[in-house]
Amino acid sequence: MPDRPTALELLEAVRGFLETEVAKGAADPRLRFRALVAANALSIAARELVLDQTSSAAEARILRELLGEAPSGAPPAEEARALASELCRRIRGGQAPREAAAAVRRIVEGKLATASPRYLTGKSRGCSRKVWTSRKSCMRFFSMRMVCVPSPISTKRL
Amino acid sequence: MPGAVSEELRRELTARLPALVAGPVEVAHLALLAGGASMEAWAVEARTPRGPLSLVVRRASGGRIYRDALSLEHEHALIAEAHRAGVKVPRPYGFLPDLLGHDAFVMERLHGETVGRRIVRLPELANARALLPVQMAEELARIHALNPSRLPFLPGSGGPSATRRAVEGLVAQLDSVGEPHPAIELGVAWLREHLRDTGPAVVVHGDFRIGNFVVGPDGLVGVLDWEFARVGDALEDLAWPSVKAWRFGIDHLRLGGISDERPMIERYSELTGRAVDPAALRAYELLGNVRWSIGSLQQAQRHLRGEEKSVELAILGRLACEVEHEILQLLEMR
Repeated sequence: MPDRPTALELLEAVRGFLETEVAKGAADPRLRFRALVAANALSIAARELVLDQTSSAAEARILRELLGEAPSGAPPAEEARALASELCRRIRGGQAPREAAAAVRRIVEGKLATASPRYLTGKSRGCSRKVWTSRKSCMRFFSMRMVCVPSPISTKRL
Repeated sequence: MPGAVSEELRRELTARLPALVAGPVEVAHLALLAGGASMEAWAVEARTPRGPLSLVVRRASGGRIYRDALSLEHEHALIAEAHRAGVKVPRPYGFLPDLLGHDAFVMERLHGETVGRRIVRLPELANARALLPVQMAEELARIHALNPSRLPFLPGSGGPSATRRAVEGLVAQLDSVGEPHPAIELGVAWLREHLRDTGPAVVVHGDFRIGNFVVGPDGLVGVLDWEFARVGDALEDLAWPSVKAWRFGIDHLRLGGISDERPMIERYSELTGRAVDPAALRAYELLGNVRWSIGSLQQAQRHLRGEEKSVELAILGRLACEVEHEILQLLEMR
């Protein structure tokens, strides 16, 4: 088992460094902007670590139901990608399932929960990002959007 | 690296600028404004017998250029044509096919605010924001009146339908990304079935939005970034500044985060005699969102393929889902 700080805690440390020391101290506005973009990138990575495979598993399940497919047994990300490709083929061929838009919306909201949770909550930039790297709030938010979060969810520290 | 390059560039510009501005020039100050793997922009403060001159030098920097963008030579030719037609653009001074080994062109440096997030927020630009919608209409009316036969290098000329070409072009770009994106596919499917040409094809700027303007206290000073110009439907330009990503966080002001769309559309119709159907405008807003969702994925690909390593480009791959969400919203409203 790796020692502390954990991967998540390291990401959080670097994010803080970018936001407070690099961005705030930067005289060049372009550097300041890039430092904030980089900090945001680390927030996304942290949320992805917290959610682990939950997001892909939920996406795969939504797509299986939509397309009437059985579980392929592949790792969730791989299965979700294959099913999404199949859905794209059907839409392109004019054979989109009737419920496609609703299912795709749930999937996109799931992606937003990792990449840009504030886009959905409508909270302005600059509010605390910390909340999104806590496992509990991340999962709560995620399950709100995706409806069907598979259990069990491990509670061990990442 | 910029230090050594800038000294060499200063010497080269000192030698080359006199022919472009028709008189002696001393390069007093040279600074890199923006630099990527494919393109640089240099600010030049020059002294001439007629007084100081602020210039911008746009120069290729060797990396892979965006496939769908105009070359610097063509961009310069287009700006020159727009300038002749009275469009608010920086005065062009000339194309240099070999400025230290790369294409470049020289233009006037306009002074004002260019950062979209600041244009929509700065209290001292409130008056400018009130004037901008009508000014945008006036510039678009001039741009759309440019004669495409004088600009034969613009993509999109010829063929039966500008709209069909635009949509099929996006499909090809989406396929080149090589990732499944069902939300974008749903948008494309709707556009294929419903999007129609609204009039004869015209010269469109292709990236006409608040973030590509120079804005001063009296509003629009100049329109920049012409590299995505093409021949297309006028509504592509009219709807593009209303794409949610270009409202810079002020979402309730649909026109670029500064205003309602009505004053721009009304003035445009008045000047061109073209009625703009609101439903058609919404359809072109969807086209704009589909275009930007694919654009975001392509920018991330530039990073992932090593064509231009940049955290700013990389993160767009993850933020494309914001645009996908907007596509679904717009589809739901039909």
